[in-house]
Amino acid sequence: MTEFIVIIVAAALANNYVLVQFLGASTVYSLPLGSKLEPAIAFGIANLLIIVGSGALNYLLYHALLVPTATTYLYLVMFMLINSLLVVLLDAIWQRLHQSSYLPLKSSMLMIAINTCVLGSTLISLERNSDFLITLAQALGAGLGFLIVMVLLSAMRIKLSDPRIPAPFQGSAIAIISAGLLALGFLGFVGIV
Amino acid sequence: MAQLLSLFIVVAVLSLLSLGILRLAKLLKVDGKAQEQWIERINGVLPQTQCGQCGYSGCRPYAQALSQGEAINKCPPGGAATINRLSNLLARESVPLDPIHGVESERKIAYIREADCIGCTKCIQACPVDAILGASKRMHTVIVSECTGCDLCVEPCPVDCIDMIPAQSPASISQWRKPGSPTTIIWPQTAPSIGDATKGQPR
Repeated sequence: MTEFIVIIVAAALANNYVLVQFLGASTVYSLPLGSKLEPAIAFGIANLLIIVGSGALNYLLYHALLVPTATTYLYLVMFMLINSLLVVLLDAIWQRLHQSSYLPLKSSMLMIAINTCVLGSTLISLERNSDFLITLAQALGAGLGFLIVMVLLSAMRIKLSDPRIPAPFQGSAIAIISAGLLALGFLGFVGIV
Repeated sequence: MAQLLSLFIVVAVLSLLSLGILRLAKLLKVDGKAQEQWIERINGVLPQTQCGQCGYSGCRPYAQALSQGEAINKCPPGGAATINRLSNLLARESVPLDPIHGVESERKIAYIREADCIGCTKCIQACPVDAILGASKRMHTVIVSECTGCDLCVEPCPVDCIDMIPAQSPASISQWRKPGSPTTIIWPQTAPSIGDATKGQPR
């Protein structure tokens, strides 16, 4: 149990996928910037669900289908296929429920399918030969880390839409600088696990 | 041979799985259509200026946000009439226009003083509804029945030859018309007709 929690915290904070391992940074910036935080939270949760779902399903399929048939060389194709299918499924479920919360945009849902954070967490677990529970913890940590960064960066970007930023720093420049500063902040978590 | 067979089996299993999931997604999505139609209905109330003053990239994105609880008082071109219709449609309280997004002004139409136009096409690129006709180094003109009076073409014009002139729709000025419906406009007295512009000029 302790191990489970340690892995989640490590994956979410100390080895944060977006800021420390630079996986999925493009997806964080794929969401069009509005004046509200809710879309970012909904998008982060959608990513979390996909990361956990794909971690679990890919682990099961890899060990139940690819290993017995000695076709492990197909793993990348299969992971991408499963990720895309999960995104389609999540999109359908989300539309079905369509709660009062903000629907992530269709193009953003596509960005989840090609989120390197989703594929990355599966591949890292595979590389380390982790068992099912560890894979799940790893995926949960990765998803939580993505959610945290997504919300933090979106909040920063909303604050930074202030026009008083000097012209050379406007737009992408300030976005990259703020992401870098946040990454420096996350460096402080390295000591906790 | 055995390798080929196992590859075949894996591909078959994965294909079946994908088909199953896609089918499931399709079954789940039935409700999506009703949602689309609802957004279409809200979109029909909006003035279709595509001006972006509400903070969304166009009228449909704003309609989608409205369906999810966005405030109804963010559309300056529509003004009070649109807010009233939205409050009826969405069963929400009618509120005055939010001045952050702009103020309601009388309905206008863009007019290009054709004698001054240098044919730079900048206004054509700015027009959200493709209501400006013209080509590079050729005189441009506004298709009156398509113009939504959004103001977006005035700013990019390098020679300031675009005026916003008041226009009257047949029904009432407070009622916004849809693009394509007939409009009568009051041309300014100063607007030169084609005959005037060419008169007395050396050919």
